[in-house]
Amino acid sequence: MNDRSFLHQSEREGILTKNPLFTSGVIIAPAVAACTNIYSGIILASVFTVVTVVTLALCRYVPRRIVYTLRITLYTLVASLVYVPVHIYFTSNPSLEELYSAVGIYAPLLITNSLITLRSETKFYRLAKPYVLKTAGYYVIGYDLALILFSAVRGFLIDGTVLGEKVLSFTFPILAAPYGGFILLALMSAAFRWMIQILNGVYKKDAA
Amino acid sequence: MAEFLNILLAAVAAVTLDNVIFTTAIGTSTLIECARAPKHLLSFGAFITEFSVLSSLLAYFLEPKFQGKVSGLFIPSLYVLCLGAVYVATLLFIWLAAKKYFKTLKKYVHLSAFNCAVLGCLFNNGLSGEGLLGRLLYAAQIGVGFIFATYLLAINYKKLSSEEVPASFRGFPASILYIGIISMMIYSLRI
Repeated sequence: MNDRSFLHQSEREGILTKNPLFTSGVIIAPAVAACTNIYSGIILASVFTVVTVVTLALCRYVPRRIVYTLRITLYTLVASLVYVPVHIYFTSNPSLEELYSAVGIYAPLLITNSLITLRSETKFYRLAKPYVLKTAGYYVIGYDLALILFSAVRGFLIDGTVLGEKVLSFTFPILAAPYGGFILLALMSAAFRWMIQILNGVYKKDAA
Repeated sequence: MAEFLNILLAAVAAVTLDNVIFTTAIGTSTLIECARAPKHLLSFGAFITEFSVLSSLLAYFLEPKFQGKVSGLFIPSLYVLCLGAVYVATLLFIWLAAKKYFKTLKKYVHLSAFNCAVLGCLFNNGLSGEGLLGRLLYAAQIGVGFIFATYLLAINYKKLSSEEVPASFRGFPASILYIGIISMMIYSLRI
């Protein structure tokens, strides 16, 4: 497989066929419990992006001869240290502080996200070094897009507004509760998979 | 007897009505992963309980050293170090005490160590300001609640992943919908 087709496959997997939130079902808690509007989605996506990308970039130099248990502990420790400047940035910025504190412990919980604790070892670090960040980047973009889309739809259904303008005459305030988040995530995940199946059909048809 | 029943009811309520997965979604991804292998449910649950309780104990004694404005920023790192210490100690203990089970048990230890359920327990304990006993009880509640939630999903996981479920809903979406319905039921009981 050449570079271009490998990256094209990684792009398809990370964003579509193995999308971390909608298809693989990992890192669910922040979406279900904290993403009740688009702003919380953007805040969590920003924290997730910085913590995951910087941690994976730094930890790819950790020697493989260190035992697995210590490697994983080291990855998570690095993630917790990368989180410190992110936390300082959000808490020292008056316009973001309120939005950031609204997501509570779900922001620091992202230091144990499975892209760092699991997929780093089972996928990313098995690739040649130049591919590690590019491949991981597609998964991060896939999760970010899914998280922001999910929080935007949820926020819209909860209060029926777009940019402060009332659009819906009816609302679904129960979606603000975690059970509402679970149910909406299930429906959006099923819709996403359905769309992927259709796209796969078109893709195969084009290839033929 | 009445007091014993009250304690028993409080414990049941803690595991069901205050179940951390159904009320806060923390640990849902690990729960779905564990429900795929229901015969190892107790091993997973036991290790998650052990990690929550022992790391809460360590964190309780070390947290006062991280109360400053600057040192407070490193609380997540402290929690990771506590978890890492319990992780290494658990593997060493199994290797020394039950070497022939080491290969089987180590995969549950790996999955139980760094996940949102255990780390979330440490964060919630830190925020609650509870004493040692309160923290340890909460940590135990997380572990037992995790076993309960995994059991509820595991008993229907095969049906939720069967061919009879439409392809788009099969597996993850059906499981998360199922968890959502149980979560809604628990919310209605809490009111």
